[in-house]
Amino acid sequence: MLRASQLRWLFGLTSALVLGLCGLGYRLVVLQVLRHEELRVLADSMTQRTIVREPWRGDVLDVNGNPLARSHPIKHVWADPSIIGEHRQEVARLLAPLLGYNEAELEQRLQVTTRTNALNNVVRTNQFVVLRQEVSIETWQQVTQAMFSLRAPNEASLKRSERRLWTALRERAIRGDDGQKRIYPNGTLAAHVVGFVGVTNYSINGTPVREPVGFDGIEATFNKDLSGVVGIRTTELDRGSRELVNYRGQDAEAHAGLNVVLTLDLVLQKILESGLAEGAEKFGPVNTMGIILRPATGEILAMSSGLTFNPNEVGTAPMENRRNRLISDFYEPGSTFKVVSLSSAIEDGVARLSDMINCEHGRWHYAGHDLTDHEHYDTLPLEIVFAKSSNIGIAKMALRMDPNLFYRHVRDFGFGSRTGIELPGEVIGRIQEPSRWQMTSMTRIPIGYEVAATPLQMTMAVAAVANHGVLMRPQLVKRLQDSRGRVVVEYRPVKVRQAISTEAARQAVVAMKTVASTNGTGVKAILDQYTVAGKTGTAWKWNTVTKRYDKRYYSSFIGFFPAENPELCISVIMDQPRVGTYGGQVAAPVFRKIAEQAAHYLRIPPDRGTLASPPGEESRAGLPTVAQRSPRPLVNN
Amino acid sequence: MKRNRKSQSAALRLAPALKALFLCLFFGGAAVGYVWQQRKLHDLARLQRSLEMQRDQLRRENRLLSIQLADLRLPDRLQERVRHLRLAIGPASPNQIVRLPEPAATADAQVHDPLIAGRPEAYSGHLTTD
Repeated sequence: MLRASQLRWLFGLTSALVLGLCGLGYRLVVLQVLRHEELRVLADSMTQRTIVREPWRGDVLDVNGNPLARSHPIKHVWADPSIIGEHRQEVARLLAPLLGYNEAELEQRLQVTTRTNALNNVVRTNQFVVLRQEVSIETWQQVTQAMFSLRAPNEASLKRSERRLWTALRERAIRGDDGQKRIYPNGTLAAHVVGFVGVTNYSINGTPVREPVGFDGIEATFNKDLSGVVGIRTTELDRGSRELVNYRGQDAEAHAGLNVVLTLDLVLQKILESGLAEGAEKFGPVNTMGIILRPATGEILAMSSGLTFNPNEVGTAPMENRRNRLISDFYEPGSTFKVVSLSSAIEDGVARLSDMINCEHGRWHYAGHDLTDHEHYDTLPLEIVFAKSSNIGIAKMALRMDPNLFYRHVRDFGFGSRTGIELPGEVIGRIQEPSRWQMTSMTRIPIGYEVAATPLQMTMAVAAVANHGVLMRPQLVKRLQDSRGRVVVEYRPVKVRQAISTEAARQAVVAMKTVASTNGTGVKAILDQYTVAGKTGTAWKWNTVTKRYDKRYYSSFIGFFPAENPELCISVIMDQPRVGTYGGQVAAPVFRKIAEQAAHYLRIPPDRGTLASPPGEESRAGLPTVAQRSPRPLVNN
Repeated sequence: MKRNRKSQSAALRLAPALKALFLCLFFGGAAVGYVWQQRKLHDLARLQRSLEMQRDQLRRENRLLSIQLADLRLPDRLQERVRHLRLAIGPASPNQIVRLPEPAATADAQVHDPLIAGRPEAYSGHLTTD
């Protein structure tokens, strides 16, 4: 039998045990039930991590695969001052020259800062100090080597805990996060086409993500394709922030963005920009613009908006230089628009190239207003009226047309609507409906006033004439391909509409060939080996302050060659040339220079002129050299 | 009548002992196997991690090298190199290019072609049979 004292002990122990278990049970309920959510979040935040894997942004390439924009691997360097502790002076001395810091300034940044929290505990506040963003891989390698060179005197003899601190200092005090930097290896070349990127910051599951985003040009239009898909990995980390691979959860690889292959040719772009720059130096305009395209497909091989910027340093250029004036600015095209008027009149059957038109000796009074020519022409055939660019002759021709039909033709040539080029910021230009036209409109619009077009619209319209009357959509992107070169999307030339009949286009080409001859205003655009068809243009600029036309001009030349089977259409537009005025004086020679080089580069077979024979050889295989053939007239019309 | 436990034979008492032994071995083995498996998983995870790092590093290097290659192939760079090395090469100038007009495709053009005319019959398309 148990004694009473034993029973008391037993009761006491049992009670204590029960109370203890109750206490534990209560604590368990508090932790697992009442504070479950709060503690789960805390636990997850200590162990679980979401690693965001940034995809490579795709490259922008020219038609031959030369890079126009690409992403370089870089590192974002940051430090953990809590690990560096008292060694900040040594670290600062090593890293300051590599990261471009003043030694004292870097030491200051590596200082541990603390604060007291609500529980009166001292906590460190700067365990993540960004030292430098976008550091090159070479510099990063130097940084890591410098950090690995840090050694304590007699480190082997230190205590284990101290040795661990030194190891942490070498390996974890300075970290580099992977990143990418957009580089434009050709600088300003084709800057308006390629565009530039900025950076956007957002977070996925609390993890900050820094992603490049296209802000202009192809970078903006094809941002979605270039960006790729972000990869996400949810995983757990150990105390040393090392990943525990076997506790990985979701694991999705990042998918690199697609490469955008343009129709642009880097060499032709260089030829165009050099030609325009040379012309600008010679004639001193405010700005010079140009386009090279293939009329048959609408492929743009080169385009230059003149005033430009370096996409590697976007902030250094004035805002206005970032505008692609070829699509975002419109102007009154002047005489180049006569191509549209002539084609329309021929299409409607109201004019033939042989029609004789009285040009009124250079001054014609119509509807209460005078219309003048730059020369005093008498009666001329329409072909020569066009070649001499007589405003009076073209206006008289236009008066034979029905304004509504003429308006429809103008719209069919693409004026008053976007061309559909794959660039942001394109404007539609301006052409009013016939109901709002004045008495003089049918004498002004056909000579390129009271109508506003972008340089691209004007070039596409001339290219439509070259392309047997078929208006094409300008094409800038040839295909999208993955990083291994496999084609994902192929873009084909798009026919917009038949703007005019093939026959009307053919006759317009005949007249345009006369322009680029000794009989026309474009004599300086004549090429030795190719027949050029084109049109000069000299348009007064409208002064928005005085509300008048003043003596400032847009001088232009738009032409194509070989005239019968056009390979290239080139436009050159000069804004306010200081030396010379007329398109035939200033833009045509620039056209000639660009066309010669472009034709040579593309090896376009000549359609006239002299074929060279090898030195000392008269002929091959019995075939006569062209030098032996009867000379062909310079003008073929 | 029940048999006295003390009178049981030694052979009969061995069976439960063996059972207990196997049970112990099973649980012990399972525990050791579990630990071994966990260790193996840990080792493989570390190996996977290091291989992934190596792969990422190689991808970065590949990227850098492809960038360098593309740089070297840029037309400007090639031109500069040609100038620097004084190779005196470049695109042919127009007067160095010989363009031969396409001959008319007539039936007897082949026969009169001086290159084919001098060849044996077999080469000019007229095969003889015995």
